[in-house]
Amino acid sequence: MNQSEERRRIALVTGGSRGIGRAVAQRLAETGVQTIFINYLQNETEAGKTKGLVEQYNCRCFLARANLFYEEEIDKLFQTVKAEVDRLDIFVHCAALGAFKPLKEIKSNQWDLSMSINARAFLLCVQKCLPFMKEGKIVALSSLGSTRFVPNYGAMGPTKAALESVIKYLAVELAPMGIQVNGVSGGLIQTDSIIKFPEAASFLQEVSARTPARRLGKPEDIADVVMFLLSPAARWIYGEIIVVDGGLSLL
Amino acid sequence: MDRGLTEDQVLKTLSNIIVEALRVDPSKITRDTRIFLDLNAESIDILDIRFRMEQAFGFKINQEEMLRSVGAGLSAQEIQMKFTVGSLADYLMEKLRQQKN
Repeated sequence: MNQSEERRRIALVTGGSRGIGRAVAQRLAETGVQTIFINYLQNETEAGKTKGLVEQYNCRCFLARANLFYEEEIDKLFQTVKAEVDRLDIFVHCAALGAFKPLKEIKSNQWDLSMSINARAFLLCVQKCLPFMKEGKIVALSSLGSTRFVPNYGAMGPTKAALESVIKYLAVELAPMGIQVNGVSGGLIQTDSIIKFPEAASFLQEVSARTPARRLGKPEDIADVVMFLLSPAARWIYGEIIVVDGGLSLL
Repeated sequence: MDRGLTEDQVLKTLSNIIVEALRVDPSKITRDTRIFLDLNAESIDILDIRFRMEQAFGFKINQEEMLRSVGAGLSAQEIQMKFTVGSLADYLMEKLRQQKN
């Protein structure tokens, strides 16, 4: 590996098989990242497609299947990282899971799953990133439902609020180590997940009409802001949750 | 977990998993219990049960394959009708046989 190769950054993206995670992985590859580890839960075919996209850009890509609900699987994910590299420069947490229903109807197992994947897994992954990061940038994906009421988002919103709090605490704790932690909060983004909303078609139409920019967000809209937070231009931003929603939350 | 499990052992383990995940009365669980229709399981609950099964039996399970194991070419509604504790136990037995070979 020559010197310029050594300077190219190494990234880990959770939930990278589809949607926003895939868009982030692709953007990372486009901007010259040397190696990307793509964590996914199940969909090997889709993860393989992300790998194919990434590898078009002279970027090494390793797929790491791991269920982030279980800490031992997070450990295995980092064993995969350790087997290939000795540092990480970037960690982006896109993995998310939840039931789309009112909070008053959430069952305890559904709450536990959502909270574990959306908030606890981020914390555990960051802890396990630290031995690999001398300096680094960490971004987690949140959503407007963390602070605002979104119908049928009861299993997700509170977990994203927890995630945002974890982001802010870690931002302070890790800043002296040269590690920046931030978040991106999207409006409704067109991914495979949104069709799971009850009465999705009418809901999406309504949100699109209410959004000042008059459309739903795309994964690339979020990925581009993630890339900004990972860039030197964002060097003085710590613990911020950047809202990227086409103006939806202004109304 | 030892992969030389009997059908009864698999059924018992699976029943315990379902009881823990869905917090249902164990007496409600028989081979014929329909997981969606009788226990009101939602898609996230199926995910939860799958995760617990993966931990208990020590292998990864493809959710689509698991649901489709009740019959090829069925609609989502038909799958919900046929997806029983017994059908899931049979799927697990088949997976265990594959793991053994």
